Amino acid sequence: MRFNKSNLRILIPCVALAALFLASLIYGAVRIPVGDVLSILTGTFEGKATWQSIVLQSRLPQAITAVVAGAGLAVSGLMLQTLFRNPLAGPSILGISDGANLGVAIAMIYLSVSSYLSIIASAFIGAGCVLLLIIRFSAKVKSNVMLLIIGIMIGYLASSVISILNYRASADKVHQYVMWGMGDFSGVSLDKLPCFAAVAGSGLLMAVLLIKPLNALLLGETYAANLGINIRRARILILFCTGILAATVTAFCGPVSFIGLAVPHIARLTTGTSNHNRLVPVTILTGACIALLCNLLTILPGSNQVLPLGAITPIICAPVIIYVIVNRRNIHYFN
Amino acid sequence: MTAIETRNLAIGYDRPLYSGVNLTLQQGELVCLLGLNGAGKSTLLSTLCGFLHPIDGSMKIMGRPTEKIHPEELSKEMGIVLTEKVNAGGVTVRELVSMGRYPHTGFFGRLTDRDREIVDRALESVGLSGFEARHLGELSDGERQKSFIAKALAQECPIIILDEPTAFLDITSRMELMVMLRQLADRENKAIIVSTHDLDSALQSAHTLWLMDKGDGGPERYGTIKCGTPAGLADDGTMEAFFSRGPLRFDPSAGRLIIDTSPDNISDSLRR
Repeated sequence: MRFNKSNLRILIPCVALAALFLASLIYGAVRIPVGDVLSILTGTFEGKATWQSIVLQSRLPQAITAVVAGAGLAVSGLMLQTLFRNPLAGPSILGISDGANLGVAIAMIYLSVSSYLSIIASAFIGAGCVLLLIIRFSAKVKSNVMLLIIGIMIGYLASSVISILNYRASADKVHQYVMWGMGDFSGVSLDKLPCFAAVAGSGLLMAVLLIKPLNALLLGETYAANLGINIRRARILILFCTGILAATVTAFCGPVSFIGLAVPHIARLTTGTSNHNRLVPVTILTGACIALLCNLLTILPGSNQVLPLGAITPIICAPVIIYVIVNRRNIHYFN
Repeated sequence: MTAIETRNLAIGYDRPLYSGVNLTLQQGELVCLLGLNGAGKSTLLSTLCGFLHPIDGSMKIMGRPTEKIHPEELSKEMGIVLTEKVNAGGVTVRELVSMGRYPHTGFFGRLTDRDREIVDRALESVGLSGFEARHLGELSDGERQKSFIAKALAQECPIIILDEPTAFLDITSRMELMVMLRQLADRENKAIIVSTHDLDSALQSAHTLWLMDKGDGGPERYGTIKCGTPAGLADDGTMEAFFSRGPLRFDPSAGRLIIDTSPDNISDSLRR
């Protein structure tokens, strides 16, 4: 492998990912010396059992969750942006996250469900229903822009049902729901992690398998069809894969906004390409990095308080979107 | 060999615009499709490309009836170039032309050495050697259309269909593109259909013209498509009848439209 520019562009996010991952294990609300964290990881630590449990039971699964969730959301955003040829598409815009939200709201407020597993199940059902609706409409509505608008409308419908539910609910249930609605990478414990990683991982693998149709779709549907791509099948597979990723992450971590929207842009800006051969791996790595970074920033230095994740992701990601929109004439992937 | 042959084709969306259309396109032939806006040029091209089903009649592509050709196979017979500007600025010229190999490559679209040679040759044919690493977003409109033609060449299909490829080009790029299409027909034996509004370059470069006239649009009246060589259609008065209206006259000897500025004609047409 030659050490050229494009290798460097994949190496940098790899190094950043490793550094951020390590930092997530070392830095936390509880101060644990670096040497002790490393000896805990290598299994040679003989000290406070609480430190051991903080690093292995809390920080490690949280970091892995952030990596998987960030990668999943970012790739689903990338696929939606390519499919709809719209730089502002993302899993939250198509109503998939709202569907998951609605599922959770119904479960928490209306059915008074509080067990973790049933909340996950209801998020799955909600996101799945929206996805089925979108797939059904995608068979009828030819234009991708119109389909995007339908997605936005479905999102609004879901939000308005949530508002009505909130209005009728008691204050503590609303509080519980609002807390879930902030998003959180710490909710996936070690025993739930394999399930989460397996489902999200298969979604990521599927995205890699869709690289060829995604590239063809960059040219628009007519050109893609002329290149022998079965447009209908490609659309359904892409939407399905996006739905799996977005629903899984929302179910396990709550709604995490902006990562799916902003990370594909960061990946395009750093690699300078729209070619999915390079864009998909870089988006996966960058998504994981940004999620870890946001997760680190939730910890207030010098205190043991933790900010909600939903307050941090817009601070990192919204400026990226604004930068991209303001500079779009100078960014060649827009032209 | 006959590349495209239609028999009693009826085309249109809800009701037929044209009925009983019999057209043939030979390999090595450059056809220019002329007609006013709304005459149905895109409808005809979409039907020939297989994107729109004919209402009636049958079609043969490279000697095979279209209903027996799988859509994925059709992409090896026919390459297309469209008017619309594609927002794929982040793709390089080489990446775009390499996508022309998609019908021939496997699941991941990985290129063999042979595929790369074909891509190089396609780039050379359109005069874009040296542009490989440029992004589409950095190209002029003319260079962009050329790279899409190179993509169609890399598809290695005997037929290339272009829907108003020169619409957004300046006059020299237009001429250049038409010359290039003529060369592709002559040298590489491609069968090419190109729809255009540019009468001047069409008359000079095409082997054959297809003139589409949708008629007066009455409920049972279908349009007509007249075919012939530029010289033939100019000599027998077809061009004159087709293009002359108001102060515009088709001049068969010059082979172009002229504006009759005599006071009678101008005031006459203004009064109408």
